[in-house]
Amino acid sequence: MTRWGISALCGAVLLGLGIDYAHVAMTAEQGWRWCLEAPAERQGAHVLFPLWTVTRVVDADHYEVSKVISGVPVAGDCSRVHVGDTVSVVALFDWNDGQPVARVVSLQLHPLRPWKEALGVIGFIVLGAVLPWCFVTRSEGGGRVLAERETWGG
Amino acid sequence: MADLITHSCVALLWKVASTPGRPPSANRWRLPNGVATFVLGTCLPDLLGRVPAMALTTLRWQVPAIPEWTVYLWSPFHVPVGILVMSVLAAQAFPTRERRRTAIQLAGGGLLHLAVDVLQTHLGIGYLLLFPFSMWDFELGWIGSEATVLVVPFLLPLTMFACWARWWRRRLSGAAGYQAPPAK
Repeated sequence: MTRWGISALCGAVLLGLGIDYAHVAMTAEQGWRWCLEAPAERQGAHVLFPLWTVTRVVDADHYEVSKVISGVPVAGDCSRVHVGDTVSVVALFDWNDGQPVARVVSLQLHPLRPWKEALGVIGFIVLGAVLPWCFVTRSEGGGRVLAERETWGG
Repeated sequence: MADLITHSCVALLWKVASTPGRPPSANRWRLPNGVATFVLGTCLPDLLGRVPAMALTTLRWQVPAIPEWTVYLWSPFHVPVGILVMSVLAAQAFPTRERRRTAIQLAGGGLLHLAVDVLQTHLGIGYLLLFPFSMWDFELGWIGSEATVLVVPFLLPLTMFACWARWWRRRLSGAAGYQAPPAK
């Protein structure tokens, strides 16, 4: 198989995997969306919000968290949370007569998250600066290919 | 996921520890063959599987019209099957005679990335190591998801020292008149 044939096949496989993953994630029988599909039946179901961002503090006992779904209302003590914080929440789904809310069972704060994100950004910048230097392009078969720089390999 | 600095340091340490000695080079910064490709491979699962998803997630808060499935589309770059396919795909950008070696280096780096990530613990969910064949999720849960922040101040100097020590050893062996073993 040619280089372009292998590339097309790999691209198609990756696209298929992505579509499958999206289907599985969006039809999973758990989570906030699943609870909202049949709220009366799922009253009291456990819902997890791992590494979600606090996007709004409504009052002393209510705030909102967002990730793929934005603005999920959470009922719990707000004394330790602020807008922009990353939190992991275990909650119980409460239909609350048409005003659904996640009632906090346990809350985990992630105070080091901004530092971790900063390390990620620094790593991204360093890699962006160093890795292009590590590779060169050269001609092969009428086209250009990448090669690891000789001074780096050996 | 751990941060890119942690992943890069672990990949460099792995290469320094696992690559047998080579004849010293005239270039004093010469490192074991495939290091850059291996480090690139260890970073690609986050660069392709996480960064676009995180950017789209945040963007959707401002632009809700962006479909939700676009966030999930990138996730296979962070599972073993996706890493293997991605490695074969990326290797096609390299010369014909180097593609097999490049794919192995990229895949090795990617799988090392996952090995570091599964050390962590997350609330209720692990890594889908067998996707798409199974939705079984796994993580060892030995360290917290932000523990690498505390590890980097030690890991970075250790990595720099290990690379320097390797260079120094090769320089010494060069000064002692290293002779390559006879070809079989």
